[in-house]
Amino acid sequence: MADSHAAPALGPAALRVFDLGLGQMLWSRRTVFMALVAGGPVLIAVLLRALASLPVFDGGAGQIAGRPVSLDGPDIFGLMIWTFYLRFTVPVLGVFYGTALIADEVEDRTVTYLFTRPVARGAVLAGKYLAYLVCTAVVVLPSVMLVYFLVVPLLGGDIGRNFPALLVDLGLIGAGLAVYGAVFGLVGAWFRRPLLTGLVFVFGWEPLVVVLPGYMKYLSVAYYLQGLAPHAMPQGDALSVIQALLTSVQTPLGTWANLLALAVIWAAALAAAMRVVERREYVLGQ
Amino acid sequence: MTMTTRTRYVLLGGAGVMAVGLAGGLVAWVSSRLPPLVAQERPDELRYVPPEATILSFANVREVMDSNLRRRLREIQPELDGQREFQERTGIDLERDIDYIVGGLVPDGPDDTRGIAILAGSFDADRLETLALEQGGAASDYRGRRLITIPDESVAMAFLEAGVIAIGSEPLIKRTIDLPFAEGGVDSNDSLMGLLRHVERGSTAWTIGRLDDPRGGGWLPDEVEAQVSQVAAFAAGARVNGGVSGTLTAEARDEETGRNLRDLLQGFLALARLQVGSRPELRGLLDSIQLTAAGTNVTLTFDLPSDAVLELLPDRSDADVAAAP
Amino acid sequence: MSRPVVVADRMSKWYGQVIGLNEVTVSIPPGISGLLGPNGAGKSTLLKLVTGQLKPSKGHVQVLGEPVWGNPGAYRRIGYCPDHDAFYERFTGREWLTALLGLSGFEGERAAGAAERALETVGLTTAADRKIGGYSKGMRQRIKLAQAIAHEPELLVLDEPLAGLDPIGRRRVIDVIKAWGRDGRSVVVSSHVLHEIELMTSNILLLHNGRILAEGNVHRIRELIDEHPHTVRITAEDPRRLARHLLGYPHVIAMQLQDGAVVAQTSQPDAFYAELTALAAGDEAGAVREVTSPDDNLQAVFSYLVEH
Repeated sequence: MADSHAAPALGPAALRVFDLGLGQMLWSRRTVFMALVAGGPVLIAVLLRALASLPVFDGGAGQIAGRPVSLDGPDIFGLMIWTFYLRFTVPVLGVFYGTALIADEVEDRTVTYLFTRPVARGAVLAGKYLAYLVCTAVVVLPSVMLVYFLVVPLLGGDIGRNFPALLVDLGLIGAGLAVYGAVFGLVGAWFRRPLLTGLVFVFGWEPLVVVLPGYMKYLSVAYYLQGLAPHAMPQGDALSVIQALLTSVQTPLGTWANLLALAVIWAAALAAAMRVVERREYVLGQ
Repeated sequence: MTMTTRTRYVLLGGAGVMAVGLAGGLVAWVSSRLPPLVAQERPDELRYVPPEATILSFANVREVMDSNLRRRLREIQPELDGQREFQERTGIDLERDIDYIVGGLVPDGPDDTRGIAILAGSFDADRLETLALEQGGAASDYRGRRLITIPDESVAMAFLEAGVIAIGSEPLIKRTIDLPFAEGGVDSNDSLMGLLRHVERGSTAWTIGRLDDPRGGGWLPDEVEAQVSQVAAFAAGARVNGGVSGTLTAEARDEETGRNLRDLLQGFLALARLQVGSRPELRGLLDSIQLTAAGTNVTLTFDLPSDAVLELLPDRSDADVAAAP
Repeated sequence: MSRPVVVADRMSKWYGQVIGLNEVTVSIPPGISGLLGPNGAGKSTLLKLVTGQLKPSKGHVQVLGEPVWGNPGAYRRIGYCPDHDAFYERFTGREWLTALLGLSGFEGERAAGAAERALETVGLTTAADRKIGGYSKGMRQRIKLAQAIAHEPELLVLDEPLAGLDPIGRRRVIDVIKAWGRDGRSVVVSSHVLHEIELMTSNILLLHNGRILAEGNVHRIRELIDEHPHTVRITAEDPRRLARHLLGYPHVIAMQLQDGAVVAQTSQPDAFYAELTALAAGDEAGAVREVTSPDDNLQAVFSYLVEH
């Protein structure tokens, strides 16, 4: 007979679900997609390195074919972090994995084995969420690291001097994965069409409200991430000109305020998602 | 743990890439930090600048004069503005006599500052003294050093050692002569010298300054002082050879001020880029400027090849004509 | 009298506008109980309510003396074997059992020992380190049963555990269930085949259209069912050879070959299944892979019961 009738505490229970869910998640169909998303920037970085070995780049730092260029390796890396990772990879993985934390188990009808065990349903979500974090971090962060070492030395960039910025970028991407995962974990637990809802949020709502004046931007994750990554913002294009003009008349939030906002979103979304899963009935199709 | 071997390999692989990357980056970062702290070219003459200096500058004149940029400039403009007049008054040939200059701004009372310049090079001391005396100066000895004062212009000059002269106000020059015997020079001012970490090693010229020093006010016009009141410190460095490249780092008083400063500069650059059509000669400069910010620091970097520098010269066309045979 | 393991009081379950269970009041005693009903009768709904997967729309249910919805502590005492064929295909049988035992609070060697015992009970020791994705239908049914019994619960809830098993596997699973009952523990097992249920217990609940029609030792039901021919579908290595053998049995009243399977009608299911098991154990008719009994076997009987 089993030892006691009490369900284990949330933490140990979540770790057990994590143990079960990590391998399942890492080798799921989505892994191919994640490999493409995280491998794309690495491929581009390799191509850039190959281009940099061409004779036109022999002019030295800040020059291509003897002409001055306004970009160097760290700038390209910053641009890639912002464009590929923070604005694409992180939210997209958040959408695809976060919305599927419970939905995948329901669709595969394996949720039965989790929900008939002596662990709180909230712990099931927390464990799956933890598995998502490890699963995505173990693929995305090394991808960032490879891109850093491939791209930063280009056009006279210095790996050492930019290392603190890399740490900030890694922290930001980790925070982004955590917050987007929690938000879309809630969307997945709550909405009937979570994937569509998530994609609309990432590619419709966020890009729009972030550049609009007003307070709508506070209802996004990208705004706070952007506030923590000013170095990674692209400059020189029309969008950055508009953004510069708009932000110059608005007081941006401080680092701690941005971190606090992200922490609040993360905690609130995760707690709400756990609560929804605790209370919701999952009727499996025959 | 029920993790499969394959899953374990993936985790170990990811962790391995991260560990190697972080360790490599850390080593590179420490290496990049060490040189500015111990080996940014600090001329020995810093010991002659009073430790309370709030602004400190260095220029490797020899390197500038020998640079490709100067060579190209010389083709257009054989003499710098005021170069001949300076030589007539001081007897110093900027092109040949000076190796480098160290300058400092030193607080003198609550609202005033005084400047001092230490010149290192090859000087004909007798000729310089004769010239000074011809212009109404008076020569004397102070602590075994030759001191020449020109009362009408409140300027004094002292021969500190072979090939090193100091120019500034008489009290400051005397203080300078006293320093090696007293508390030591500005190189013991860690707060100021620490700003050299923002200056790229091997810069041809650099300047650093603390604006948050309560003793250091008064040297800027009031309107400029109001604009930079939120800047605690700055450091700028430039490397001159084929062109000019450099960085300017401003250390804001706090992160919010840093962001405001960044936004201000970003907005300014954005507007300048929009208006570059009417000033095409600025395009090279604007294109080369990069603005970055981290914490309280805002950094502007630029990189101009010699063509772009020459474009910026206001009277280039006239000079071209004048230089034509 | 012993305390009932499941007590439902006017319990209903609605799926939107569709009723799954209608005002069910039932008290299931300890021991083995069979839940018999055609497809859509509400068997799975009742078992999901009993295992805390669904919340009653109305009424109450208590299992082993405590409510089950939102009470995960109670799940330690219950083992559930679902009817659907869903697994973590990339896990081996042993990995899967060990991981699920971890969720039930078993760790390290205790989990490994419990997994080994369960594998042995269902006869999967030799296949324990193969991936579940490569298991046959019968092996999948048995590993599903293993996860239900591994943590040695007080109450075993089995939803159609014999579906798709070959005769040998069917025999083994029935033996496991009967042994469980002999050990003084309780089992609620559902099926749409009376013959299967009867092999395990005589305590039967008849469920139809979301209502309990009858419960207890229902001889009359048995008689009624025997009046209706019973259809069995058999997937075999050599269907024609198997069909030739089956045609020799006097109680086989019709037979046809359908998509590589033998579909036989018999007037005496007990005798038919016994002889089929013997045939499968021997070699003369080739290997028998899967035996299923279509739901419509019971439909006519239940229609009769509802009318009377």
